[in-house]
Amino acid sequence: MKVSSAKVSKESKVHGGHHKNSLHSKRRSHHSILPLQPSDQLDQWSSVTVDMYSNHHQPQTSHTSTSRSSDYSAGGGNNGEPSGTGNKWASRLLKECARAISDKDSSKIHHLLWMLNELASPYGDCDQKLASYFLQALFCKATESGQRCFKTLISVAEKSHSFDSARKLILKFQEVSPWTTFGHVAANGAILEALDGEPKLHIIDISNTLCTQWPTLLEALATRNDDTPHLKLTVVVTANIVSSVMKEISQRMEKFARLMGVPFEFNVISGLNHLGELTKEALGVLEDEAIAVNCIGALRRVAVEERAAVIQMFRSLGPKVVTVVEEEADFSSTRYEFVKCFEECLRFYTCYFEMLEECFTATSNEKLMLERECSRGIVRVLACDDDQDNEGECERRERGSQWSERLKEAFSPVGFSDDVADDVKALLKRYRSGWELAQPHQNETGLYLTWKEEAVVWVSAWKP
Amino acid sequence: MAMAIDDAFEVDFSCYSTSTTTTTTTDDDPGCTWNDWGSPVVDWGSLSSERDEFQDLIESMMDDGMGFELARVENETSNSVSVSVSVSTDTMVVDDETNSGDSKGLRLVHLLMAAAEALTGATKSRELARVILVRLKELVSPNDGTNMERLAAYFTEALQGLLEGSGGGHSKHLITNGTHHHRDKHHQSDMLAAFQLLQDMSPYVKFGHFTANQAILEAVTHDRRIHIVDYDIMEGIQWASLMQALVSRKDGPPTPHLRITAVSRGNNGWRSIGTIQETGRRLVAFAASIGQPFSFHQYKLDSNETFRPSAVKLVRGEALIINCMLHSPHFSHRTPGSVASFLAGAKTLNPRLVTLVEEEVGPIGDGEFMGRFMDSLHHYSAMFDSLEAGFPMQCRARALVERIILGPRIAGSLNQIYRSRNEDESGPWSEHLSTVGFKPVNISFGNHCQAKLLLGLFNDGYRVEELANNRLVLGWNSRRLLSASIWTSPPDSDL
Repeated sequence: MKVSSAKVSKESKVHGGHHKNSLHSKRRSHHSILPLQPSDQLDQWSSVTVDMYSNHHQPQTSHTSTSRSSDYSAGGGNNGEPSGTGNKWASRLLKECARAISDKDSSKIHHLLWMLNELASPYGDCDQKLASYFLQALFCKATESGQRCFKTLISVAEKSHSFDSARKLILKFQEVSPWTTFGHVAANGAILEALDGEPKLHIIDISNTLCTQWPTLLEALATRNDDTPHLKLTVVVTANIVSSVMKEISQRMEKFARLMGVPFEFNVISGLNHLGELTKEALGVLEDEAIAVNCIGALRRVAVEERAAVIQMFRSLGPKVVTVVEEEADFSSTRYEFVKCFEECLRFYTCYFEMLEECFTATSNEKLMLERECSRGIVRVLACDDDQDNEGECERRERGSQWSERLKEAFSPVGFSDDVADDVKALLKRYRSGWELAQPHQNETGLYLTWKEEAVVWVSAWKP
Repeated sequence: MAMAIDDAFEVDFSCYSTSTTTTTTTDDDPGCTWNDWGSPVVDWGSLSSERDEFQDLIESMMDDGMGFELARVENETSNSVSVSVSVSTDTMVVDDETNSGDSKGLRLVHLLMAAAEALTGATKSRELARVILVRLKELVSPNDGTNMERLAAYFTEALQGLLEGSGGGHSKHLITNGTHHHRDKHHQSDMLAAFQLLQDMSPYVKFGHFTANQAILEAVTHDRRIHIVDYDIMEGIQWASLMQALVSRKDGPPTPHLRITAVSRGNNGWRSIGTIQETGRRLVAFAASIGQPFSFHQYKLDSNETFRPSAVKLVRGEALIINCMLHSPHFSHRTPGSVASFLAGAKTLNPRLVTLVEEEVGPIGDGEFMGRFMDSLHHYSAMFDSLEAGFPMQCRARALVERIILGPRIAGSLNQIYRSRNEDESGPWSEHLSTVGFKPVNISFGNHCQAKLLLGLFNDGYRVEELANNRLVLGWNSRRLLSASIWTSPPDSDL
């Protein structure tokens, strides 16, 4: 057995000496029971994470799902609250732990981490899964090992990533949920309308969607009445994971475009440290091209302080339209208040996990993989310092209203036409109930996808 | 001799040798040699320790035992002091088989405490309690594993019962007649066997009986008529040995007449093996067989169990004894109200002697649920340990006793603690007797010696303490388990 140490950071409260509690004191000091891995042995932790990723190993011998069907209210709520985290044991424990960490209450931290560790499982029900992934982040936060953990999770994901698995995953997700297709359909609609009549189109796709957005657009271009325009697609990849598969994707896209009869050119830009570094030249922007900048989940990966600069950079490209799709959550304004940020993070991922639970089958591998992908974002947001250079992995989401404020510095909003709205509604009809299109209120821009009446994805279009 | 009674009653009171023949047939464990505990295979001395395992477990949770250190490390980069936590067990990847026994035991205790806290603590969460219990059930079984694991299984079941019952209403159904939803109804033969085994494997039953009987004998040396009102007669084995002693007593009037009034519940909760009537018939037959003048009466309590002393038939000149065995395996179905009513009523009868045997409760802090829960855990851990220490090879026998007797006791005990958690702490009944006005009666030297001799027949770990002039306490290692106290009516109330 290795004896090792982890540092639980705290300023003043040290419980080193008061262990002569009576057997029956109300607040027991539980730190002796902590069965967790200390951060110095993160290799062991990462082997755990690796093990978690391999389907053959289960951390617990059997894991009875702790929810009974009658207890589990899909979406979490009464009163139409889809991600009601109030009553569930996992959210209570997790929030308590976050507070304890914020208060630097060492014994409470230990007790809660221990308890969460006992009850969590990435293979159990929603509560257990959330407990498992958030426990990881809380543990990292408490032991100041977030950065290491994050890097490990990235490398694990990169090792297990392949074109086939990624493609299968995305397609399956799109089949059972409009989470991603919503943005695609709306953005495509806006792009097509904005670039209508242009002979040379250049779409700058800043996303990690593996080009699943573009076949429909190519199809639309091909079936238009007038002459098919020339399409240049420049994909800017911000996740290292994705860049490895882009070669395969470019081949497929070129083949598809040939089939569609669309003159097509495909470029990939990857390995960027900062989006703000992009230039017209680097992107190959030509004077006679009509530019569309398409950002799917890309802005949130930009460091918060650099977001304004990136938007200005977009402006400098002279686009006719900028489409932005982001998930509706705010991890940005609360980034200096751990507990608030934690609660918002929990709210969002509870909604997401519950949605996954409902949309996929119980034993779906894809669901498991999507859940695992969340672990990186959760650790990154909750347990890593922003000032550490994470190369485009910021993950601090903002709400549509917040993005709008930023974008309004350089652009003005474009409403979505009724046709596009109809297309979106038709799309949603293809999925199970629970999904709705929400039009913005007075000062809002864009369109919202709602799941059980909670806004989850935001799409917007902008012009200079 | 035509003895209608089981051989179990063949207790020769004056000789202290319990040559009980094994009448049980259910335990065919080849390692079970009931009559062999006089000749131990193992050196008891090396087995018994000053402290019991449970206490060690708890202490190590509090202290820095078990290879765990909590050290302070000065953090040089900042002025803050960080706490280093070193653990020597890597249990993040929880594979139950790789846990050492101790750390698993700790874990189980911890989980039980967490569940109990979730059920009753300041921030209650039934949902959390339920989830913890699910986890516990994955880890333990009442049939295998260590003492701690089996104990944890029974406590888990008991907590589960509280969780489900706490939706409202009485939880009496938990321990009555084996209609406990976790278990099938116990077969009579199983119950008989388990009770017999408990007597053979431990002094728990006999300690109470012998101490009470000895005090009774000493109190009635010159009496011709004795009347015993027995709160919970069960199978009546206590009286078999008393009768034998009465029949063979040398001084005083020849064999006095013995009358027993058995108090019983009107409707039946968990019943003894057989009805009160059967007990009565057995005792009558036994008395006849040894020449003891005897009569048996039954007093049926009504449904709310109020004891009406006026309904007890008294005969002038008889020595009235009140016998209150509150530690019987199935005692838990008697509510405190019922006991209080009985004792209050008994007082008005001005009995010559009151014999009280009850479970001894340890320090329980502020008397709230968690403290009493921990105490209960400690209590039954000691009992499990004591059985194992005495009979380490007889796993199946012990498992039977645990299942039939101790498991339901645990459930009943927790139930009791849970139901009274918001009320004022109810102290031990011996204190109640004192408050109500009974006076203590010294336990004789002979009685105390007899207790020691009894314990000597079992494992070294048992001890008896005289905690007050009128009170003997049986314990296992450092844990006190059973209290036997003797009382009498205050002098000027003799009518």
